[in-house]
Amino acid sequence: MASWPARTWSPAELVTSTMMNGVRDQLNELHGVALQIANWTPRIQWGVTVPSDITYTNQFGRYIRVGPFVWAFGRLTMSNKGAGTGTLSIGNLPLVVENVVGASTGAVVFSYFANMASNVGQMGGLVLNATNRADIYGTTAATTAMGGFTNTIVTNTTDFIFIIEYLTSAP
Amino acid sequence: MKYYVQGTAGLYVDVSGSNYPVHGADQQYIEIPDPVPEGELLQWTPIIGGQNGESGQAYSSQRGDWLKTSTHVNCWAYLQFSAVGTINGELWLKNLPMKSAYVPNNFAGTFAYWTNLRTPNNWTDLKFWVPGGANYGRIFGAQGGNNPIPLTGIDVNDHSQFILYVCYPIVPAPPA
Repeated sequence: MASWPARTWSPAELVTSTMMNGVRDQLNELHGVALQIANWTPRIQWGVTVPSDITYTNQFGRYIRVGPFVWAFGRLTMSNKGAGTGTLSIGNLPLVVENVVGASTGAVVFSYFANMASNVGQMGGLVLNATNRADIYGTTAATTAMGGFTNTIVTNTTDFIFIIEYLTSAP
Repeated sequence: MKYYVQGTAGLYVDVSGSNYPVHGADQQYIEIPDPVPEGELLQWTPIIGGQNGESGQAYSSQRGDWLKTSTHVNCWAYLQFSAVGTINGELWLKNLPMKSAYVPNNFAGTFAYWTNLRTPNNWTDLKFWVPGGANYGRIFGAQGGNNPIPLTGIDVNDHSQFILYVCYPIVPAPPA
């Protein structure tokens, strides 16, 4: 890291933290942080199984990457949930999830859900290490633990808006 | 990092919402922590504790990652107790890596996953929020259609597990 020559700061500079902003800007340049913004196509999966019989009226996503951090925004509105069964997952994450043994390095946050098959109190989820997938968890009644959601919780018109934040090891 | 300044009594530096007063009898130096690098993977140590303190806790998982931008921090955490110990008062997420902006707002945080909480209380929805000027989050839960209430130490046990995320500002909003 570079060092900066000593100088006397004026009170005006100090109280407005102008110099600190300057240091910050220089750090940004030194670290050369990579910023990546692009589209991605989220999809519903049943665990590892990628169904071919689900159709959507909304299926789009956009993601931001800053260094190892990824924010993947998306919306999925189904028009037919197909006949598949299994764990409810969101797949095709734009960058592979970092493999951290013994820890989950991300979070699934739902800002909106509608047309579920049951009354849902909360939805969340976990990203899976070294995959491009997140499994969905939630509550359908007052409980002491969120449970894993499956195909039975969605209908032909279920609608999700979400953000998946996680760490990636992708170059 | 120590900076020598031309100052007088009462002078302070405001950096990211934190005030650093001028020290010394002659009021001629201040000490400011090294700037937090932006856009880099950083670690923090999350704690689920009590508003009035905690003791005897141990974790089987206690990982926190965070990233700072020029105006906000983004924090993830993954925690699981192996021993909950004693938690006094409301249940708080503690030790967030930076204080939130000094504004009269609460900043929303989200649990992506929670399990192994302790009965008799049951929850349909858990959330937390970070008060303005704080580096902790107050954990609240809803039971059905009722208003959220704060969780306390009786709601967690030796295997309670949480995964969470929060993004909050660290500098005050500019004047209108």
